[in-house]
Amino acid sequence: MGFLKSKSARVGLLYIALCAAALAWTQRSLLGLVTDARDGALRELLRDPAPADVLCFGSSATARAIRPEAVEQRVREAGGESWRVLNLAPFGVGRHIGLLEFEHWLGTHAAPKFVVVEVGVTADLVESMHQMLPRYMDVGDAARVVVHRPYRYRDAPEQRRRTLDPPSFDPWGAFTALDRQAMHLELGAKALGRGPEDVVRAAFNLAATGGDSLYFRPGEPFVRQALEAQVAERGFFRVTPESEQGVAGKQTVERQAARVDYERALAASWDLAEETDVFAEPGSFRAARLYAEAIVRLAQRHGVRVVFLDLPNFRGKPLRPSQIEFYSRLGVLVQLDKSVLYREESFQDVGHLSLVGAEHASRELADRLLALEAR
Amino acid sequence: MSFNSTEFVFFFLAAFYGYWSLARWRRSRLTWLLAASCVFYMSWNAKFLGLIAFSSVLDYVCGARIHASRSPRVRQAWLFVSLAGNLGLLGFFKYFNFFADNVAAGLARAGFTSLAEFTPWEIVLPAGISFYTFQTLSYTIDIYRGQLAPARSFLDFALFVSFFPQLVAGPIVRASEFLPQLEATPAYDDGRVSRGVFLMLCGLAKKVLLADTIGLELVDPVFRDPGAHGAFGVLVGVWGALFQFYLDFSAYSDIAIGAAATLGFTLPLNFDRPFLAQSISEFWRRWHISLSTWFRDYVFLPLGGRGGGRLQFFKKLMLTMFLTGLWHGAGWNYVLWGLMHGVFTFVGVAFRAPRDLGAAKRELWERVLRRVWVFHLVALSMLFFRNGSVLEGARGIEGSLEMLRILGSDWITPANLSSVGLAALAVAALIHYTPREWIHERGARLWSRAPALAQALVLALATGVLAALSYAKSPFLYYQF
Repeated sequence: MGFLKSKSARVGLLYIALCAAALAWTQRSLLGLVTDARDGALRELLRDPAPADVLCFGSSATARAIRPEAVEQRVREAGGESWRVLNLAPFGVGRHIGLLEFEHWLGTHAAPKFVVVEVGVTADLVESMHQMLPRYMDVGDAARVVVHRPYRYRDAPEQRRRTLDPPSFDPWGAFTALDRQAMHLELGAKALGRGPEDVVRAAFNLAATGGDSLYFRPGEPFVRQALEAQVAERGFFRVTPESEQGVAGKQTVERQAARVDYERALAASWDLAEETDVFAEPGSFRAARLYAEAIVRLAQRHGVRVVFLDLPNFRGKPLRPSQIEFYSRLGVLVQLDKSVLYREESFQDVGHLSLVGAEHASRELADRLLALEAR
Repeated sequence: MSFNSTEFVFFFLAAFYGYWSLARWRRSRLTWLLAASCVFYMSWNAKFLGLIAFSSVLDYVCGARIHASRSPRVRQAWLFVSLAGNLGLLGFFKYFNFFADNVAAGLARAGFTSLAEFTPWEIVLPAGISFYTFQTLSYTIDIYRGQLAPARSFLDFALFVSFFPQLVAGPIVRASEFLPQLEATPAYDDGRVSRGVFLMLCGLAKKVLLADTIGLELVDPVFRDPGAHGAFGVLVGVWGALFQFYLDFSAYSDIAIGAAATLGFTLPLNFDRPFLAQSISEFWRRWHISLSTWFRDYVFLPLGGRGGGRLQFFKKLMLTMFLTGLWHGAGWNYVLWGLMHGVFTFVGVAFRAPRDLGAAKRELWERVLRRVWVFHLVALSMLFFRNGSVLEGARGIEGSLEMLRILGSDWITPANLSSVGLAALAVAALIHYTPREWIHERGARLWSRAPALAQALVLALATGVLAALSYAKSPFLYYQF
């Protein structure tokens, strides 16, 4: 065992110690040292035994669009009743996590009055990691999990661990986190290569994230500090049209060909002659339908009313007639007033509302929920 | 468990500490290495471990029988069993679909359409089968020739076949090189371990920072859409493809040789700056050396080598290079690649100028011109090799011909090449043409002198980079062979 005294053996042991330290650092959120990340906040909300009246599920579009305090305030203004509203939508994942969260909530809490489930481009159409499924409902689901396997930190077990399960030690978590950091660095590097405007934008992002990332990273500290400050100064906040796509898409971020055309988006509609059974088409539609039906079944068993919320989005066309028909049949479909929402200051990028937009959306949602309750 | 994965790093640490802790006890340390090798292989595909076990038992028994018998016919019979068993396995797993597909196509052309329907079987190519099959074949052939004594025990032989650093993609080690290293109790040499770790780091950097970058940024876009890059873009793309293959494969060899060195083993050099070659035959003395010498010793020389006149030489050379091409994969592109090298080598050797003084005595300008010429001949063959592979943008022989047409005509379209890819290619060329001793020996000396904490920090940082780049991780290209 004399070799253990050699320099190389010492190097190996030091290396293991350094890796362990890196693990501890990147796992610090599990150690309870950091709780302000979106996932940490969700975990705290789900652990809190206090009941709630409204639960909102969806993707980052919902996370940005529904401000619980704005809904609660509007309800108080309208009827004097005090509601507790929770926005449980995580970033980067779709309806399947909503189903998981809903199941978890009903297992530990009293049933709410309403669940609000996001529908629209992100929830129904985007073929991305939103299709990471927590369980295999059909062969297509399993195939998608395989296809998206490299994006480990986006997959369902990881999301489940981050949002629902008690913290546990994950030896590969450090590398998962590093993987994500590298993605931001890569995107930042690409941004730097695209001219002065992007250099300025990258520098801004670097400052706004406290030196954490050259590229915009959706997280609570950013939202709370930078976003609030911008709203206070200018009345609305916008990051960049492609930021969210860049972070989510994990591909080369191409500059968008044209600026968002709000008028065209507002006027967009489907040609009924082209209409087919949308849910029979790509796998993403099918998965969206299956999870929507599962949520509704669960809600019906517990006497909860399901509201499908169609959030505005410039990435695709509005809901197809077949989708409108499907969601209207399954529950109550709420489509927000586009004439109010489709303005530049309402969006922070093509897929997400700004604080100004979220304020509008939240208050309108409150009105619709109150109207439903009154029926 | 690829070398460029964090899983391998921790597997290797366990193998390293376990091996040196048991170094004093022969059976224990070899059993430990064999177990580690099995774990390593099972991380690829556990069920194919049975194939390695079958191949090991077959050749261990055949070797022992050949050695024990004095009857030439019995010895020949056991050699035949070994050849048939090994080549049968290789043939089935690697070439069955290729063979059946071509037979079906031939029948269809001959008008037997009812016999020509063939749906390829779903045969998974076991990792490393081309490499370990050649190792075990060399073992029985060497015993048959009386050049090697059988392994002392099955444990020794099984470890020779499955030694994890070179199991999946070489270098192809001869039993005469490996088995003697199992005999003596290994003495721990810290300097050697340090040099081995440095070589592994170099290999990892070559693979992750250079080969993958050149592949993703430069080669894939050009091969996917050559028309969008014009002649200059295609030319640089083909240079890139050649460098990508070189860097990727030599990186694997560096890591294998380095990992073996940390365990006290010496594996043969597999690449020796091949683009310095002044002839195609010299190229093959510098590129995948363990394979080229295998074909030289077990195919070309037994056929008679260079003796028998130009026509005989041509036939033997073409057969050898045909098999070399076929070894790389079951596809006509690989065969074409091998035959091109055969023709290039034949022309270079058979028509060598009588006044040629040899590589060392040529003028500088002639050496440079020859190197440029040989590099482009190899690049031309690589065009067909790369286009017939399963890599991104590969479009078969038609794609190769289209690229050649662009090279001959379209010097107007801008190259539209990635600056990151070009930078990586420039760095790769710089490293390749830098004397080997400057990087490997001086670099290793500097590394050895660095304090332990600095070394550990560099290794931890490298692990972080490795993990961070995992989204773009691509397997070593030679895994598919």
